[in-house]
Amino acid sequence: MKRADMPTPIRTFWFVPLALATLILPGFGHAQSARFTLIDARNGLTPEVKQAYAEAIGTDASSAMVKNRIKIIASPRHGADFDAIDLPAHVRHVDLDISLILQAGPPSSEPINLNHLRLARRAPNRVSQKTTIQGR
Amino acid sequence: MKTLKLLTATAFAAGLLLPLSAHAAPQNAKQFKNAMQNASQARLNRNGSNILRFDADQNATMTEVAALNSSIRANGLHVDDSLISNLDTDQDATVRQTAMTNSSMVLNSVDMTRARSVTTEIDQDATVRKMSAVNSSIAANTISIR
Repeated sequence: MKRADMPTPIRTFWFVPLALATLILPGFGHAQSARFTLIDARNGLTPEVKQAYAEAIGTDASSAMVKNRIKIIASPRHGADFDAIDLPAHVRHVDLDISLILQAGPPSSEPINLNHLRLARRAPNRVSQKTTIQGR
Repeated sequence: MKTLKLLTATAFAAGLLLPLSAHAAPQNAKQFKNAMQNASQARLNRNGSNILRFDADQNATMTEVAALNSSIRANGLHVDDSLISNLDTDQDATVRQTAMTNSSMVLNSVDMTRARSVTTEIDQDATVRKMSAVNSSIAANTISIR
């Protein structure tokens, strides 16, 4: 269809759907970045909790890029002493955002170890780590 | 006369080729240097990895945490046995409204053992405010290359 054959409203206001798509699509992208993994470690670091932490970081990642958002709820009584994580050799880009929320209670006497990566002989090209520890 | 013209042309051609041969000498030297560097890198990375560029962006924030006789460690990175031609790190640590007693805290640490970095860019920023600590140690934004 030639431009002259188009109806006048479409020929005149063609930019309206384009503008809407330009505004809406980045919003979808932002909404996807809000997804996160919630780990409940209030009852201590059980093997299930450690496995969930390792999988959330990306020990079984199949793609070259790992981008994960993790929120951990822990109690001061048990702390959050996670081991260092070995990432697969094919991972080239790591983007981790880990938030630890400490429940209210007595002062913590247990160690906290978060967002610790061990990259031996096969480091990715880019690593972005963000850790937030917040008490109540 | 013909022989004279031939000699003149030969001398002229030799004059043209002289700068070219002089230019070839540094080129050979450059190739030799590159070959030596490659051999050195290959020897260094016999078991390790060769990374052209490595960017590490670490950001740690701690607020309203009361710690007692505990250690806190956030954003640790261990890179061993690697050759990195360009290491670029950006570290940012913030601690505020935190009370610690007999605690040790390590934020944003990059530890490299048996690693080499040809070019290194380090950008570190640490902020501590409104904090009460007794017998505590804080290590923020540390890079160790051994």
